[in-house]
Amino acid sequence: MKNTLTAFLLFFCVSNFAQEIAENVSEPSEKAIKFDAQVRFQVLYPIQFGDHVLSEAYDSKPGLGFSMSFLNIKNFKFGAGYNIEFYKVTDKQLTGEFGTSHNSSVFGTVNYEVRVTEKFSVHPNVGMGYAVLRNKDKGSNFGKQDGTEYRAGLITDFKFNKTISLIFGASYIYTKYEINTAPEFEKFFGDSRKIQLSIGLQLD
Amino acid sequence: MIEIKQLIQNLASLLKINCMKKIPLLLLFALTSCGIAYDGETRLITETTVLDRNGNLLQDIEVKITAQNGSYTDVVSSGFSNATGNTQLIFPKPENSSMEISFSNPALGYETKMFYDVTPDDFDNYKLVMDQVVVLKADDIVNLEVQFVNTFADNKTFVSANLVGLVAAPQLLNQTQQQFNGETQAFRVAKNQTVIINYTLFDNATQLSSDYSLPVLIENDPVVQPINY
Repeated sequence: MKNTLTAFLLFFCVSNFAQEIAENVSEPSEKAIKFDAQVRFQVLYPIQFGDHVLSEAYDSKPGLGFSMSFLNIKNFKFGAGYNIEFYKVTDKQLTGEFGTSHNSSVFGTVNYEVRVTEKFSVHPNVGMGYAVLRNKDKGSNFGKQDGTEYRAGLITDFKFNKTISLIFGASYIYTKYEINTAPEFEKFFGDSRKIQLSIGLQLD
Repeated sequence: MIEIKQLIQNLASLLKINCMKKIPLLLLFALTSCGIAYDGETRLITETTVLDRNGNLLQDIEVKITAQNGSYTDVVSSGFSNATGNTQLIFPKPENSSMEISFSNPALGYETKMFYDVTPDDFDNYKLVMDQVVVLKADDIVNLEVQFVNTFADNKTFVSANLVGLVAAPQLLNQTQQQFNGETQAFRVAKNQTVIINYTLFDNATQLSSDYSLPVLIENDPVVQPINY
């Protein structure tokens, strides 16, 4: 959680600093630093792997994602996003007597845009944020786990026109959840690794 | 000035009406938002081995953990013993609740064996290991009625008593004997065993307590065991 706060503070410092520069700089630099919103809506599919409860005792279901870039410094795009992923319990002996869990996360990202052709570009990106895994069963709440997530991925976009692009993405996401349990189960409930695939639309 | 006063009064009455309307909603929210809370960041583990009275490992015995908090009850975890009689259940820690751990399979003819009043304090480093839990078959159980009868001949008073043996009754963790109250009391016990009734009497003449131990042979039929003092 401390790391997440530090990342957000750093991000806002950079934003404010960049804004001041943008207001005071001459013509050529204004092109390098821009406030330019780019919004993405995505359908997500997480593929959990490794020795973690989410990969051993759950089935992944499609989730939803929303992200936004709003500050461009040269080819770097700074932004933030929100993801929610849904999981169905398949082994209650490992989880407890509830049917579903969902993982939601809020994160900051930095993308680097590489324009391959006029209509096609790729965006390697890294990010970090806060995640929470909530356990539910028919309206009953079976507790939650807070965590910190670290992500690295690649988004590709195909421009239909000036405003709309089709995007595909793949991210590797490591989440460190808070956990108190017997030592042999700390990693099993604490360290989640997944590949998150996504498809969606980008509005420029 | 009067208009302002009037305005304040109107506002006050409006607020009062709105608050009155909200009270049932708040009450409803308070009632529906109660229940058992869980600490999802704490995972408790129970490990058990289930046996029959002859020491045979039992498969397919259902183990169920129930949390209770006042009138609220939740099944927090359940599962079945494997081929080697072992079960492992992992579940989020219920807050401010006690738990019951039960073992049963009526389809295979086994009576429910229950441990009650289990709390997170009973877990050592988040784990509760119950080495051997013996379950009894329903047709292997018979009634034992113990009757403490004060004849007043010996001027003695009942102090305490317990029963040691294979008993089909809810019990506390690590409890090896059933306490009873010195009056007529019935127990459901395993057939073909010898149970021990330990009891203490106080001699009013000598002002001393004395301990007694009475073995009772249980065969296939119900037993009534009087103890006169």
